[in-house]
Amino acid sequence: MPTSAAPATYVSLTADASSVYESSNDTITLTAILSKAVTETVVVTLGSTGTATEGTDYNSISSITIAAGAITGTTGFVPLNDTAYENGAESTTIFISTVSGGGAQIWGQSVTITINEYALNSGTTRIYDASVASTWAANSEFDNFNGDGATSIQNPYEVINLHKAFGYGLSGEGQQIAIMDIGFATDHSQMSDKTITTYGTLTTASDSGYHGSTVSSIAAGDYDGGITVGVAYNADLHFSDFSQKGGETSFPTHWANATAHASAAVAQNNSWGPTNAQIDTVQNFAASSSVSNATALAAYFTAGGFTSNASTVEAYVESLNNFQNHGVVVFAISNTSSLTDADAIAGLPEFFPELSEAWLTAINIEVAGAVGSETYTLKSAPCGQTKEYCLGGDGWQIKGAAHTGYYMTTGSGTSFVAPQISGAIALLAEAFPNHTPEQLTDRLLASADNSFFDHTGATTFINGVEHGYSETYGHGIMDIYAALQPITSSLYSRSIKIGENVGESTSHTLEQTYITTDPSLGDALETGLMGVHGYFFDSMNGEFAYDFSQHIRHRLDLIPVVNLHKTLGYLGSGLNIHQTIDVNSFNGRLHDQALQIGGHSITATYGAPAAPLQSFMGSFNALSTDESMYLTPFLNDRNYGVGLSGSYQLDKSRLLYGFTMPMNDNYYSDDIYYAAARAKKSYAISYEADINEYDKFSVLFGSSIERGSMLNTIGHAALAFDGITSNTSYVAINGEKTIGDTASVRGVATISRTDTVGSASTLVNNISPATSTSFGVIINKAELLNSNDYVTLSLVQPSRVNSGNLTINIPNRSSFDGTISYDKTSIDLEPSGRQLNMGMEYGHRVSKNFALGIKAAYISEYGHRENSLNGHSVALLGVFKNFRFGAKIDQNIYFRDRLLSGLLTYTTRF
Amino acid sequence: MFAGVFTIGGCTTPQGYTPDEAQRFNYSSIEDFKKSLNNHIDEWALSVDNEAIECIKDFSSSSNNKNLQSFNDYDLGIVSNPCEAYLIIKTANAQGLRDTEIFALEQTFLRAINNSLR
Repeated sequence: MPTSAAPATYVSLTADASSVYESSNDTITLTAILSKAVTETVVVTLGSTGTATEGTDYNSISSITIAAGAITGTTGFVPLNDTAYENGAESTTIFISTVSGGGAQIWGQSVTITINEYALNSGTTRIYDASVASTWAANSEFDNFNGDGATSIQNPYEVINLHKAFGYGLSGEGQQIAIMDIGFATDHSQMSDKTITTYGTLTTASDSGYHGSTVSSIAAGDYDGGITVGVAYNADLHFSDFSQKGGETSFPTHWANATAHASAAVAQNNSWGPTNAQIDTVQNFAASSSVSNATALAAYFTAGGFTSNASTVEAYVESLNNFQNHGVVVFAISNTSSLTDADAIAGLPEFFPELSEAWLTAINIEVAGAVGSETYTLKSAPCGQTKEYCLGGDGWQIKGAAHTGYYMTTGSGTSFVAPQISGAIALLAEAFPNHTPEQLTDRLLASADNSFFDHTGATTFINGVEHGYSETYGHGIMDIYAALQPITSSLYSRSIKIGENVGESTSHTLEQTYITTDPSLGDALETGLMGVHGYFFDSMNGEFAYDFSQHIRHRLDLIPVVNLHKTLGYLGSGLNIHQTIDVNSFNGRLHDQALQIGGHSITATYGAPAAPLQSFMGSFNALSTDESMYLTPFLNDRNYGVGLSGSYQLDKSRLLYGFTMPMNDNYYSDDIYYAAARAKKSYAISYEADINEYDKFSVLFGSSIERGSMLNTIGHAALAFDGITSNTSYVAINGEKTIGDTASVRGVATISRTDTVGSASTLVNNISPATSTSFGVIINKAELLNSNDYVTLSLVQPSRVNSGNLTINIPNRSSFDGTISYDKTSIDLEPSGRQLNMGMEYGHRVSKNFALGIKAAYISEYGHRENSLNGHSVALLGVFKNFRFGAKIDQNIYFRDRLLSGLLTYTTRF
Repeated sequence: MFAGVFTIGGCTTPQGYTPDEAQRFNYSSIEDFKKSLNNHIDEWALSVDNEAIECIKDFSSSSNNKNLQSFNDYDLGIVSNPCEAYLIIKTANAQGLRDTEIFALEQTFLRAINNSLR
């Protein structure tokens, strides 16, 4: 309610939830509430603000229409799932923008909704820090990459989202990049912190030749207060000179040996080529000359001055192929824009298909214009036949190291795109240490920005991931940040793999993997898994760390709010301190006439609990404000199936017994609002004693057998309990004692033990025996202050697990050979808190026609959570002749909203 | 010596290649050399800057070449100054270097003018 003067008719806004997972498919209901009904239709237009974007992170929100005469209208807030990681959570504040109709006015209320990201992190256990990314984008060494006088508004590094990769803390640490080039400057400031391994003789950079220096500074130049920073600035380097074969017999032999020498590199950068001949030119030559591909290539290499023959070319190819066991080969395509195909050496996989697994070619695309209005101009030869393993970057007018010291240069060419890709490979190798070079290659290709050109085909990667390409632009411009995100397809989403090896595992969809816990477990599972990181796989077998506790969902317990209608039903008639409802004929009998055998009365049942349970539960206290005192996982079910029940009458007592068996063992309900789970077999026997007319006592023994669940706690997909059977044995007592003529006390208590047998073929490893208890006490007192009043007090602890452990296998990141290991995490099933429900009711029949009452309920540590919010419900009630009226205010325990409601009834008899 | 020069240029479509390490270019005159060089560039789709061709002249008065004695001297001379390749290789021919050595010098020259950097 507003706290200051409100307009005559105002509109407020509420939501039935304050957070939602983007992948949950849940809808939050937004409700616009009029302070009073009006005769016109009221249209409430909503606005939004916050980090979540309407239309991107959630469906566009429509306006809310409140029909004439109504006081509420609703619309849905639907989160949109995506493959982008948004640093854990985004939020949006939805407010009333305008109101039209009925003279209604805005009352300024808004609701804030948090959209949670399922994955805690992408790539590694590192946390993405957007502020770090922004800081990098503004860093002078980062910014200087856009060369002096460059026409690009956008920094080419930002075009490939390098700053966001830095936002993960990635730097290429521990990785090595091989650079085969010419004109190296190991004494350049950009190389000062590098461990540089060399092979053969290097041509040293001079003021007229420093190509290798520029290339290596882009791939891995230091971040040390110099002029620029490299893509993988903490990576180490391996240098070899393609032009310096020294004493080796031929150039391909030299290239082969240099390639083999770089045995620790995750990428080999080649911003050079011995021939500018197109792939198709060499292919035609081989065909027309009837020579092998190796011979044809040797001819062209030799014609360019690099003396070769078929056998040495083959040796070079073999060395490249071997390199792909640990690294990706990156080749810059010719800068000759008049070419219609990639040059032959960049397209070696077209001649030797065995090289295609971890091979990338680089084209130069000048990206001009501001973000959102870019223009793309190809500045090199097209991808041509290499289209399916070709990436672009902006290598136009960029700055890199020149010769010694701090000399820098601004240049253009695919030479300066290739090292961006090689550096990106090093970053990905750091993020995905168990990825093969082929997987790293595919990640970059499948995540590239191909939105700015028409596709002429699509590459299908594993698990149905498709990515469009064209002969001109290949797969588009590399996007390192996108490559660090989960990549999914319509056929294959994020998954958890169970098995010894990735290749021989069973996959379960991440979003479908969860455990719905019974309220009696409280926050035990969530707390036990807090801070535990599991790994899920995306479609391309990239592994991503996430908070494993997000697999836990809670089935909601009843909140002991005041039921106005129910309370008004008996308010006028005063208190009967003996509320026991005897169940002498129980429900679900298949035949009215029971079978009489000796003193036993036996009947078959269908769709109802066994007789002992019915009797126990049927003695429900009508005045209790809290129904949860009888809600335990083993006493309640919704699928009883068929059963047989009987009774044996003694003098002042009786024996009840029975069993029920579900018709469908596989039935289960996962509705979070009901304490119903897997169908159960139930056996029960009770003894009920009537001590006198009002004082009673009963004791109930029973067993409840669940298949695929435990205490109504159900796992799904990778956390399914399938194969596990749990048997809960319990004892429950129920007693009522009259005190004098005007008071009574009533008590209910249960204690149980749950044992499990069998094992699940999922991440659920083991469940140890668990015990649980519940209790409730109600005191009724009539004639408290006068002869026409009464008071009722209640205290209830809903069913709560006190001991037990659930052990879950938490998947680790798989090793390089695909082996998956697991950490066993044992979770104490005792929740952190103890929920207590307290109720009080006072009623006073002032006169024959008039009665007043007040009723209150208070709940602490809701859901057995130590630090949970407390809720309450307070009602004022009255009866005057045929009118019954009441008003109450409920403190919503979830969202801290207060809800005022009222009821007015008039009853007459015809 | 020059009577034995054999050029493989002249065809726009390569008819095959055997690494016989024979001389590639016609050294009878600077014009014939450039013509045979351009034919080679076209034939094998080399990327060569125009400046690299235009700068090649008959530096017959150059004193540098008088000190060329060994293969390494010729090779280094071409690396240092590709524009003098015609005269250097012509001199090497006159000095009686073997065909394989002449071929190697031509390879050095081609690498020097071949735009192999991307």
